[in-house]
Amino acid sequence: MRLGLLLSWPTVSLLVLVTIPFILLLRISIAPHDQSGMWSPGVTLRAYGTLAEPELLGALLDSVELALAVAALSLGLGFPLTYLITRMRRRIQVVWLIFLLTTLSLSDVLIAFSWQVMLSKRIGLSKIFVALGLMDEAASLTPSSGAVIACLVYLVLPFTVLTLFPVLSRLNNDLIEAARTLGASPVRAFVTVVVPLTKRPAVIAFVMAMVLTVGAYVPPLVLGRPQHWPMAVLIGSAALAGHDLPRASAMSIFLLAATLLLALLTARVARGRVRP
Amino acid sequence: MTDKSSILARPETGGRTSRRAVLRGAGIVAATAALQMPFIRPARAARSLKVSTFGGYFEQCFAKYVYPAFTKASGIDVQSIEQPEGAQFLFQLAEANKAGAPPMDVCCMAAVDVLRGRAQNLWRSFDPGRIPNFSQLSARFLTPGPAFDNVAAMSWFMTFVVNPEELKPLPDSWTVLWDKHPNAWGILSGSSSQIFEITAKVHFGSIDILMNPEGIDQVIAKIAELKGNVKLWWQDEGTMQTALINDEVVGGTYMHDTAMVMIKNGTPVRSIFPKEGAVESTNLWCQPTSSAKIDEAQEFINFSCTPEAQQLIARYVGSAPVIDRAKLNLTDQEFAAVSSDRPSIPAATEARFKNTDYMERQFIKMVTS
Repeated sequence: MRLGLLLSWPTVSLLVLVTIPFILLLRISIAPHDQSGMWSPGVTLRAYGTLAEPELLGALLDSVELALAVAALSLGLGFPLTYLITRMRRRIQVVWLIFLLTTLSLSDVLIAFSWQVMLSKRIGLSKIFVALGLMDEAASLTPSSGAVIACLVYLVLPFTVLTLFPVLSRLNNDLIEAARTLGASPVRAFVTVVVPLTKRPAVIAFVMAMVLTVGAYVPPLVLGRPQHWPMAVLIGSAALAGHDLPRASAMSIFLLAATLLLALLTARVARGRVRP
Repeated sequence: MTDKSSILARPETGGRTSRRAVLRGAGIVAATAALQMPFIRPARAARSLKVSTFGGYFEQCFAKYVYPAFTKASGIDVQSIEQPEGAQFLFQLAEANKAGAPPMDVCCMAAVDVLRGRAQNLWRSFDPGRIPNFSQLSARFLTPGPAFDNVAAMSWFMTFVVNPEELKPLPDSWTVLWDKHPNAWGILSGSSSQIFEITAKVHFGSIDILMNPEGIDQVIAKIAELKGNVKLWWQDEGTMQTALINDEVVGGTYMHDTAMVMIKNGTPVRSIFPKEGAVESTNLWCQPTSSAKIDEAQEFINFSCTPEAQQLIARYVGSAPVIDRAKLNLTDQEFAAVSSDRPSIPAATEARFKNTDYMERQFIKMVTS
């Protein structure tokens, strides 16, 4: 009886928090558009008919590219960072984790605005680059894809570290020490021992970073060029400015399907490589 | 209209009553009522009204400066409600109205939302005889439609805001937007952008061209010529404000009242009413049909149409009055902070109501290609 209750709780939450909203989304996506009330009763496939447009497919590609770039960069940065943190003394580890957790409490709107200021001509990073001799004169670094990616990596990095931390901190030190005594350099020990042992959580961290980025709205809007606005921005435009909720819902389902496909594909590719 | 609350919100708490004070007050009222119950006449019972305006700065200033003057004049208490903006607000309001429980008796609507609400029979018609001050409004606000379901509350202007150190001489015409100024401007993006009105007026003579899809295509083709000049297609006013403060843009389209606050805070920008006119958007008072406070609502709206109320709105809320300047005692400086004597370009409300989705889609197509 108690077991049944426990089992049913996740089922109920899944139903309430995921399934019902999704059914509503599906329902609205097949409703006719209404200029005054956002959507009206009835059934039509009009909204899906508007999806086959070059700017939507372009935006979908932009979303996927952005997600892959951000996921790759945050794993590339996050993995060594987490590894370094797990090798530190316990107390310093806690400080690092608290610091990373704290950044999660900042809103992404605030973070995007901070990057906008940081990348500006007047008081931004470019002044430091000029002082270091990396740039000839101060220039504005937005709008650009680099700015969007930098901001998103900042947003996603804590999730990457927190996903990898439990596994990396439980990593058996003896294995690394054995590799080192047998003559492997620290880098070689990391690549040949640590990386293969942690492939699974790394793939999870990668997929999670990707999924988080696919829905990015504020950073591309504030820091990116309109030519590279991802799907989420266009969905916002259709729903909030265009008052076309059915079309926005159809676009969301389209993006959801694409994201699911991408995540499955990534997991499959990774699994294929892990097999001997 | 865009969200003012994020930028202008002042940490003012004076207008708010603490919960404890309310409870204490309620206790006293209850005690007095219990003692005097047999003698009280229903008509003299405390009258009240719930009025909503856009949240943050607007709501705080109305609660602090405008409603108290009305309460003093009428004896009607006003409960100030924060009203969100955007598509979902109207949707929620319509649902609440159907259920017979609107969260407010009078709300402050953007013009296009008045039309959207009207299409759903959301608004009650007012009795012109109960709003005698209506005739005090400027001529352009005297046509509320046959239903008489809205009354002008206040206006705001989209002007040509520039950094005078980066652009000399200062522009006097919107045509300067189309001159050769690569990566110079920040312009509001999307179907709600006043660049539609500006382009229609400057290049096609009037905003009437926006009434049909062919006309919208022509206007968007002309807006597309700006792409090389526009560095920032902004959607949130905070983004444009940050860009102006950090010299990221030379200028662009921006709200006059917010620009005046920026100037007061030391940012070197100028807000220019070009010779073709700045774009004027007006917010209107409406009453949901299920609100029962018919008399109180009309008394409030009648008060809002007085020079006294409009002066308070101009001075403290920072919005343009909807009564001719000659009837107001605003100084030159006070008037210039919110408005201008130059004729304005009216907002294309009808066109936007009819064609919002088309305007949005075509605009996004143009800007993302």
